[in-house]
Amino acid sequence: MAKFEILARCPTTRARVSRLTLSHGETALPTFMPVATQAAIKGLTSQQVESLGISLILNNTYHLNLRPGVQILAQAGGAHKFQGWNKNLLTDSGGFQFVSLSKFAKITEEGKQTILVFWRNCNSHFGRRLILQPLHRRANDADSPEESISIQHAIGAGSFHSSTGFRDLEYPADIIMQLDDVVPSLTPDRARVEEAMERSVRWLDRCIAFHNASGKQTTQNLFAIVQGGLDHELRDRCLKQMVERSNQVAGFAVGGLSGGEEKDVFWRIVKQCAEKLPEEKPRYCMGVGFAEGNLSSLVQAVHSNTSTDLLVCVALGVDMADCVFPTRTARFGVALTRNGPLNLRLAKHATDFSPIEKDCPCPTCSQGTSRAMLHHIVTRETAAAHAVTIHNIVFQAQVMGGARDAIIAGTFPQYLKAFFAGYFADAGYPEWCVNALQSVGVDLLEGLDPSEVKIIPGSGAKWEYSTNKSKTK
Amino acid sequence: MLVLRTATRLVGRRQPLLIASRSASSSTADHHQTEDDFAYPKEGFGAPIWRKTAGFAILGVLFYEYLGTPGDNDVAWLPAAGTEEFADEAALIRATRETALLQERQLVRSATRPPLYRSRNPEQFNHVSPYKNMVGMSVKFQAQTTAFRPRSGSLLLNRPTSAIEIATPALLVTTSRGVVPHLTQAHASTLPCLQVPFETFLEHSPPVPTLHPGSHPLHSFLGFNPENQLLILTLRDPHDVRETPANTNNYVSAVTGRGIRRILSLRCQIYHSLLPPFSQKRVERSVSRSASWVSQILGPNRNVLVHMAGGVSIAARKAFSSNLIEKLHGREAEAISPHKSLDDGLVGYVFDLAPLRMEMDAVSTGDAPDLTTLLRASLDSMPSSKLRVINSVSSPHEILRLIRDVGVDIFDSKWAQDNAAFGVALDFVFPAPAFQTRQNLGHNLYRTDFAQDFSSLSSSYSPCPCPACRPVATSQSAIISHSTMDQFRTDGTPQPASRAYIHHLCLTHEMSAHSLLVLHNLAVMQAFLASVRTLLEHSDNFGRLVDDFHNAYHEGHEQISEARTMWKEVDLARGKGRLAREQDQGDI
Repeated sequence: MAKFEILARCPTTRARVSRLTLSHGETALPTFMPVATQAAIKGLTSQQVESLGISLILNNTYHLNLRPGVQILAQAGGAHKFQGWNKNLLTDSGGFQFVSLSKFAKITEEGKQTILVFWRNCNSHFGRRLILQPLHRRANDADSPEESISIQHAIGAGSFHSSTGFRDLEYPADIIMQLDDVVPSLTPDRARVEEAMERSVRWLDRCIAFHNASGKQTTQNLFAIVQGGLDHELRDRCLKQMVERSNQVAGFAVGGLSGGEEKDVFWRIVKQCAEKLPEEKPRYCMGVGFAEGNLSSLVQAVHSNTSTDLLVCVALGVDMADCVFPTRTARFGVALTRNGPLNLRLAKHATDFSPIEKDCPCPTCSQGTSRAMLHHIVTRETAAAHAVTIHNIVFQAQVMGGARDAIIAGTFPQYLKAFFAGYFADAGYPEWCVNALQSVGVDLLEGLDPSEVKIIPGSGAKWEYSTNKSKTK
Repeated sequence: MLVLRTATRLVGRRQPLLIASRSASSSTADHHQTEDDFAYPKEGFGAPIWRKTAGFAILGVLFYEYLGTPGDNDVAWLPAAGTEEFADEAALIRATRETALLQERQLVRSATRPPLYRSRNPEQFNHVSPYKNMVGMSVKFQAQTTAFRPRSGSLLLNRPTSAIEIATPALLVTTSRGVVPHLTQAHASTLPCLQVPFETFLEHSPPVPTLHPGSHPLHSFLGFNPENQLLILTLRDPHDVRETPANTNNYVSAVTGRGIRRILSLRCQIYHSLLPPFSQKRVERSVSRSASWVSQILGPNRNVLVHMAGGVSIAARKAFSSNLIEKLHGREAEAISPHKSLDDGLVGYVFDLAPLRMEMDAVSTGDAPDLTTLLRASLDSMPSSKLRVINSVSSPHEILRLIRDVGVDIFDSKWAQDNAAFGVALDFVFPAPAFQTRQNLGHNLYRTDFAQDFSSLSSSYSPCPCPACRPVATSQSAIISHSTMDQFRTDGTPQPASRAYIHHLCLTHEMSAHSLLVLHNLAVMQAFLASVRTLLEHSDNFGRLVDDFHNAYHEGHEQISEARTMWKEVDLARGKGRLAREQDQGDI
């Protein structure tokens, strides 16, 4: 079982610093987890990722089950060995991918059968960025709770026999997620959301039973996923039931968010969950700051503010968060900085010989790669994606590392203020951030001249705000 | 002053001129009846046609004056009239044809070398050179008796603070837009010798590297280390054989990311004759032009490699060589002083095989001399003490043959990098082990055979030191720390990337596959050339080992062409534009 020690608490906010010890070393929390969907952080080698100071990455069960498949992972001696990664690894349940990748899915109690049931009511807003695999391939996917767990076991397993029997497991995956029934967060049908929530609880029981029966609870850690959509009452019911099972799981995740809902709703759900989840277990907020919506990836890349979203979550009491944003946005030529995202494709960078950020410790910046050079190769050479990916991962990790130091030193509110001031100075503070942080005792606007500070309303204005920002930049 | 006067005169005369011509034409109807002086103005130089001609001629001359001189600014691309961009293909082809037609008309002109003049602005090259302060370079080879014996040696580049020594035969790594494709900077900085085509930087005017403030602009800009990395700058990508508008005496065409740009020929360091000159005349012109261009970029302590022109014609190749070594006299000698001949100012010779192969294919079989004969024809009369560089080499077999038969010193790595880009992991050694059957040079990792192959990329008989096959654990101090409480323990030796893993990455369209493969393939090539060097120094039977290698490995390109097809399939299924393609197909 994971060892989770809380080392410091912020006296003002709900933020805390902790150390999570898993079978592949320690990870300092709060942390950000880069996503290696297909068992590789885009373009980098495992050694490179390790040298960036990353000690916990995420693999997607759904994708790894399709390819290379559990058999091959088991033959390789587990996902760690397969991808040459010696640090901690978290595998998601695969539930989310059914939302984001498949428009034909019917949820049954047995799991998710990929039958041609057009699911338009539920996920029409997901538009077209859907099907990854041909149907014949997906017809073989049987995702029952047991199967999801067994796949995740296999991802960390030394051997994989059948869905019922396992042998001694030499290289266990470190954190596995229960299979949950994910509905898009904007689903209008409350009955469907309720059904999904109740089903996720029932599936958690089956996952716990299966996990315990497999005898792997010593090396792998099962996390429960709180569902309930955007409905506080449903969330409360889910929280109540899942917290009852607290001693059966290693940690809790908040799922079913980041589906394009208002940020103002998002933070309230996160706060509610973080408050009610037990203090002595890590809290993981799934997929922060990146809306799987029908907007084009580039629009999202320029308009998301993951760094600030993550900090708000930390202040609300979240310990872990994953996000594809830093790596995905890098491929579109967007570098993250303390002053907001930097679109390297813009012509104004063509002759700018300064690095992305002067004092950034990442290899890209410390070796002096200039914005001009990146502008020359960005979106044309994969090497540009590698360079910006490296920077973005380090940047995100630095933001979280700085938060840890500030929480230990008791200066987290000041850290938040300084970071938000740098990030939003020219464009104005998003209202939801101001409200969210106010709810945990940090007033971002304290000491600022009200006539000079711009507040961007939270309701539907986040894109607009970013558009203005990109124009003024 | 002259401008103004001419202009006023033209404007002032416009009205009467028009009237005169109109009356002249209207009166033609009745010229049978009356033949008076009014209808037929007297012939003479005062006639409107002559006045107009003179006016336009003067305007033309004046306009020419305003074109500006080369070297006005850092790198003055001839504005307006000199710069043409061909956006779409049709216009490009049309322009190509028109230029070619014009060139055909000029064929009557003699193909002898035009007289050489001193470059008016020699300092302009400093801006496009890797170094603002020119540095010396020397080549030394092991003792050798004849010109075409296989040879090993070293290339020594003296810099003010350091010296770079590169043992030959050496590998020249190809870059694209200034970076080694698929490699991060940390990995690329371990490569000693790289070739940088400059043409993509012409998208911006003036080219961005020329604006870099440091003392090593190109190195600093591209992120290479001037202390231990040698860059060879070319105008064009020597592997690119796409058709471009024909070059003229003063311009060469370069392909940028934004269409084709014409560059004053003075600016290029190495001229690549890219269009296969199919006619005798064009070969001759390419030969004569190249010689005069060479004269423009020679200078003290400037390391110039020259592309050996002449195509598939042995006579033309010999003519070009003799142009280079011809002792010059009088004003021509002054122009290239302190050198006595063009060749004196050169450090080596380049052969671009990509355009040469196109030309050889175009010539009917049987007529074309083989590669060795052509290369020897160029080098026959040249001093053997200079560097010989080959671009677009097509296999290790060819490398071995060129070392054995021509004594080539530097080979590009495009072939190995292409293999990596399409998913082929190279796996061969020199000298070749004794195999039962002939082996392939590499493995197409798209093949399902590798799905469960957990061995590393290289075979057991060829341990590879690359980061894919033998990853080195990051030392604790090298790991970036993000907070005071971060603790990193480095545990165990890292796993080599298995073939199954890279097979998986290939099929999932992950960039990491190609990063690992480029690292591996370049390491295989480096190891191959390293053992070639060792054997050249310590063994007498190099020729036999080359034959053994030919017997041990297939030279064909089946692996890469198969891999390319499979790469394309995955790219279509998962790569850029997938959503749009799915939309086109409609709902499944």
